[in-house]
Amino acid sequence: MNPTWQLTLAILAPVFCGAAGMLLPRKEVGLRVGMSVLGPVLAMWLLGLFVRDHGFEAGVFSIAWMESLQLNLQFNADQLGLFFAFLVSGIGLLIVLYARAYFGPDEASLFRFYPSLLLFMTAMLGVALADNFVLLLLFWEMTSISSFLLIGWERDDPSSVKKAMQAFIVTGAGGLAMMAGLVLMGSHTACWSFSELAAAGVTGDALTTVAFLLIFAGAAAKSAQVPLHFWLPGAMAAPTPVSAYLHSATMVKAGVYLTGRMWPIMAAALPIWPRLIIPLGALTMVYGAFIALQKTDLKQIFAYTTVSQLGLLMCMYGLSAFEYHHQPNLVWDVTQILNHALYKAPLFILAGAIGHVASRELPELKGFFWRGGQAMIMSLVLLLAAYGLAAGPGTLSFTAKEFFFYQIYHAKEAIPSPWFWVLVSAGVATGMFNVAIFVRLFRTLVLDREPSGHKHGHDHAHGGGHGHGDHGHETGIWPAFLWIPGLIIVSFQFVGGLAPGLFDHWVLHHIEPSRFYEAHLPSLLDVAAHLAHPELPLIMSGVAIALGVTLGLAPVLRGVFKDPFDHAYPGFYTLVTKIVGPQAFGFVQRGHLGSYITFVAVSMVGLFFWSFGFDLTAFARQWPEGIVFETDQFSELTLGVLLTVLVCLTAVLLPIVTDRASRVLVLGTCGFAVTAVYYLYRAPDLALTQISIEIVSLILFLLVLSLIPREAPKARMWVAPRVVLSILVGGVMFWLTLTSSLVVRPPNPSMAVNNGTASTLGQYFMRNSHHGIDTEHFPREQLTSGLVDRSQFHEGDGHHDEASLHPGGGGDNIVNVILVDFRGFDTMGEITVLALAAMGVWTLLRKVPRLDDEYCSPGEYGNDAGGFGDYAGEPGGLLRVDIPDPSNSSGDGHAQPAVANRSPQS
Amino acid sequence: MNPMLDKLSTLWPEMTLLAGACVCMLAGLSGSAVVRRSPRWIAAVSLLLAGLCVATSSVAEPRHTGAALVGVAGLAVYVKMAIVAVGLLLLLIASQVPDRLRQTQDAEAATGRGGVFDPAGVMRGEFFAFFLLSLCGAMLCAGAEDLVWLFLALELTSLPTYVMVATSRDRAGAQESAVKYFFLGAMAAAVFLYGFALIYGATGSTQYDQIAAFVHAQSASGQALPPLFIVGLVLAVVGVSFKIAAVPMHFYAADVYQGAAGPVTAFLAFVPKTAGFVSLIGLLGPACQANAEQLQPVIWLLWIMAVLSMTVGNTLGLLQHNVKRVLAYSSIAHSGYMLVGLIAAVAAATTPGAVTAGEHLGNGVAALLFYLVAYGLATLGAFAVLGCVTTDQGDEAQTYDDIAGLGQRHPLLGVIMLISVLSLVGLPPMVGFLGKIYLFGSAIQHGYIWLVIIAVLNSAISAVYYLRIIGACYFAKPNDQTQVAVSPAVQLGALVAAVGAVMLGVAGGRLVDAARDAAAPPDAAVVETAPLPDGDAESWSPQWADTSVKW
Repeated sequence: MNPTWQLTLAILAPVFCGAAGMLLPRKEVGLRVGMSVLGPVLAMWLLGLFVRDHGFEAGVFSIAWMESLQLNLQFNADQLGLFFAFLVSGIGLLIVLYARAYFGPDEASLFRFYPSLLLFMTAMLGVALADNFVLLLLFWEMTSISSFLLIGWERDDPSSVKKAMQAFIVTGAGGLAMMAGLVLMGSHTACWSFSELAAAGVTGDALTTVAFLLIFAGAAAKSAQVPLHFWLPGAMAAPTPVSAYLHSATMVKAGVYLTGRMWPIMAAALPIWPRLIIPLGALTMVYGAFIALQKTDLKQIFAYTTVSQLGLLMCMYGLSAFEYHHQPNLVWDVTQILNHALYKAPLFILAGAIGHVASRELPELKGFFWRGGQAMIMSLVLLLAAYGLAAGPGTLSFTAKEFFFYQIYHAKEAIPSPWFWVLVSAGVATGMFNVAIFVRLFRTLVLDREPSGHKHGHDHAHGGGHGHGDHGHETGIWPAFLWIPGLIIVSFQFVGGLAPGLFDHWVLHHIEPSRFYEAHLPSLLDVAAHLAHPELPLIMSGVAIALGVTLGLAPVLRGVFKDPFDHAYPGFYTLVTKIVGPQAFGFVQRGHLGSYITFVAVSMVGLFFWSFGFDLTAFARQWPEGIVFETDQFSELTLGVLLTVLVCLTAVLLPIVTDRASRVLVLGTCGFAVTAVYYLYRAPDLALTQISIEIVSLILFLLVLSLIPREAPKARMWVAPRVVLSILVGGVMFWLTLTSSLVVRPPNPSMAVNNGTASTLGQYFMRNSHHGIDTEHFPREQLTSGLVDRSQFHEGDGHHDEASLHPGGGGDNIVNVILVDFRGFDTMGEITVLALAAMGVWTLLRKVPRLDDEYCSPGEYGNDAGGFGDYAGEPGGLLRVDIPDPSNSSGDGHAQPAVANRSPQS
Repeated sequence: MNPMLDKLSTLWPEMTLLAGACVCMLAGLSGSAVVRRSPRWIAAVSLLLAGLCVATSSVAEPRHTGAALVGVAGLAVYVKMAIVAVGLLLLLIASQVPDRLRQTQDAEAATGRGGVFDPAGVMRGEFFAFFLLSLCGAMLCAGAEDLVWLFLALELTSLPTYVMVATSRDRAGAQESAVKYFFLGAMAAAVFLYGFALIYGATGSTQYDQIAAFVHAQSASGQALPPLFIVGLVLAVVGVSFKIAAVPMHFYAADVYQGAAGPVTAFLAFVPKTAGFVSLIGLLGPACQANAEQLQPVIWLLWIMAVLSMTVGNTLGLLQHNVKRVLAYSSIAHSGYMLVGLIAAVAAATTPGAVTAGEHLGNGVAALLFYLVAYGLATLGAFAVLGCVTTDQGDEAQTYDDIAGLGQRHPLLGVIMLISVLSLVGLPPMVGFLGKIYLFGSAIQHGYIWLVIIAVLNSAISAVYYLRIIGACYFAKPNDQTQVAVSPAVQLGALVAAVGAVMLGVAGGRLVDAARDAAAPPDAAVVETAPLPDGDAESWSPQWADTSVKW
């Protein structure tokens, strides 16, 4: 089989099985479990076949998918990727079985649960194997979606849903940052996959650093690094199988995995790598462990130790930037990742199991070991796993922690002295807290034997219950699966710890062929040899264990210190939606038309000044030498000025008068004054059109006013700013109109319209109409009688010269010529529209419809529709918005809106 | 041939729609009940015919090359195809809108009782006629090569929608929102018309190619662009941004979306937005003959508009409890995202030597075109689902509470909503994911790193309110105060949109290629001569090395 398809199938196998499971009848629980088991099994089988054929260093396989989006099915099946894939599917298999035990034979829950879980498994397998950036992103975001579905399992519990959202927002936002980072990395380096990037190498320039920081932000959010860690304890609202799967071995490791993918490529090249990752990881590691010690709920304890362990892993990758004896300080270091999965998954599994039969609260679990039933075996498995958490000798965890300490030790030269010792103390402190947690668990479960008078806190343990209380105590093999998966997983801890050679031969050798590791193998894994030659790492372990036991027995640091980040997200959410948001934005969207128009007007004036702000002097240069009134008739000028003043007066009056009818009349005055201006400047036809429009629109206004209800006069607000704004808008429009008609364009030979000497539009029209023609050359009679061949005036033929400059239109009047010849179709359209409007008015006058409430629920538009003449008051903006002249922007009194900006709610 | 006839021959789809609209209008007034109910079929048929016309139209090279950001013909075909495809889905989900009006029901009931049919009470003809006219306007925008044409096309897109909003629901809210929509729209039209006039005043022509020639001449001779041209362009861009609901012309969006019926809202979210973006591409094309320095004010304007649209949209979306308003603000935010692609396109066109072919995520216009379809499908699904839920008062579902538990009450609608919303967030495997990669990738390619970071932060904010929608559908107790009623047509339309959103996300290669081809530079020779990165090993290193980090 084509290896790429083989890997693709392995990735998709779980989700296919999940989908197939949804087709099964709801009652068929057994079949459903079988189908779900098939998913990870198939995935493992396909991966196994792949490894058999290609080994663990198979390299890159690719099939084009959407190449123009740089999206290819490109997989990098190297040790790290395959290790993760096996881990995900292997633990996934056990979780499927565990979930069956946890939910009991509850059809509805399993019906929902398995598809979501298997979808997540596919996404996680994809993350592990994807090489292409976009493909990685695709799977990465799919893990966010599916984990949202899984964490928000208790859908009747609002707090659980909120926690799921919190988890999704944090990890999803990180994923988006990662998207920006990966796309930036891709476009900057032209490498769209990790393998290409590794082959090409990176330089430590600024863009690469920015890209890395963005990608790392995604990784840190997913892997719960301080200060983004709070989503992980919150995600404990999920049912335990989810926690055991997502929050131990898989999802939270995705960030660590991604960092691991990046380190061989970038750790050495980017100076920021160790400086950012080591402190962040160390802080997370100590902080998580410290908070974990304060908690009493089992899942909360393990959640915070997970945070701690994730910090440790990050810190470790940070240390990988350094070299030790010319060897990298680290090869993938899957030991550490594997180790964490091998104790944390059982811890969660058993936390769920114990919560299932008793309680998850430590004070209620005193002497649980002795309660009989499955209590003893459950406690035992839990304590075995917790021993792993404490990194006790004889576990893989111990080896792994030694590794980590060695790494710190090896970085001694690279890290300045005080910081080195801070790091050492952080490592020891983390170990100490973990040991203390183990000691407290042991003491509570086994040594505290006092009867607690505890009745089954069963319901409490499930925080809202997922409806399986009735069949929680089923018989048969399934209840044992509450702890069997845990036992299976934890046993590897001890195989790895007690038989390191065997473990190395079967597991580590394939996936982590470290020369450093192998050189140290005899001494490192052999405890006896190790004890004989103690170095700093071993001393650190010893100190951690000693201090941890002391701390565990001491009655201090129990529930004293609460994680302040618990309130981070809810606080932020409240801040934004309740306080800042409404304050900052409430005034913008009031649902009030007047304020909208004000905003638009403000931004328009602002934009005008702003776009000239770049070069105000250029504007001054545009201003022509002088404005010349090309008229010899004084009466024309005087009348023109008078009419213009009248038009301006109406504009000023419009906002001042309050009565609707008066406003309509003022508007009418304006229109008629403009008509007079047209007539004055020899455009009788335009004047005719305008006067018809004025009459029609006046009648329409009056008709409409008769239909809308009376409006109570309202007090005016913000008068002064409105006046200023009006003046500004008017000024801007005036300025622009004047300039655009007078603008002197630089000559542009490519434009047909500009040949000849006309340099302004006005001049162009004038020259091409009779009015502007020198009648000495072209006697009027000749022009009007059509003796001049019109064809030679066609614009754009480019043949006529200065002498033969001829009118484009044969008429006697510039306006006529423009209307009829240059814009004949327009005029026809105008006439048609006018005729239609007149017909409409005529119809309306015949039958005035009443706007009663038959089809309108009583709204703010009122219901006292008056008859003719019963109009009073006026909605300012309702009148006319031809161009935003001052009169409109200051209009007021629009009816209170029915559609207002709703007040926010949580 | 006659240029007029040449032009007309590219307009068969528009003419088909126009004819369809006239027939709809007449048929809706018929005395025969059967004919009266036919406008939706007429609309469907004319849309299909228009699609056929688009598909069979020969993509003739436009008369004027080198004038635009993209070749007009390719762009027009892509956009028209998208309008036909999404338009058909919109028609499916809107097919019941006029029938649900009480006027219509009363008028029909009166006829059934033997009374006289009152044509004024039935809106079917008008509704579907306006539906087609608006689509026709959007198509005309895509083919515009002249400012006057563009103005008419834009208004033809918008004017019918005002009426559609007013008549889509028998609620005062619908009429109020229509009034607001109309006034702000008229004001915006005034603004961009003024801008067009100033551009004309500054360059002496309304034709794109001549404007481009003018700008090119100015730019080549090293002169600054006339301030009047810049002001004109700024006003034109701001005015047209009303159609795409971008800040500062976004105010109407929330109120109007809330007031209109769900299917009409979906229409508003797609059709005018498409028209607006296509117009912006056309408007900015000639200006891109200048160099980036000369266009600074416009580029910054777009930048600010993009950032403000994203931020205002997402922040206000966060504060709402009305789902329609949430989606309205999300529409504003998405316009912001798409503006990011436009900025990338302008940057590419004005930076000498930048690669504009879409092979390397570089082409902002292609990204924008792709995202338009992605957004259209997702938003259509979401509004269609909202339109299916009614409250006890007979009103459409509005709040989160109204759609609570939809996933359990009607699994299919729930899944459609889920897919639509996830696609809007930009999560895989929905098409929105690819769209966002494409958009942001194009901006990053041209150095707009901060812009992309802002966009990404905004996507994160938006996830909160999108998740609340999912949360309401899937994680809340079913609300028995509401009824869920789905007609087969709506179900089909929404389902096709949702399936499309997934399918295009998984196998959207064809659409990506189509968008890339549509956004190919008008003159193929330009691409050939552009310094493409070498393929050899040495030159792997930053092919964009001289692209500095920009805001």
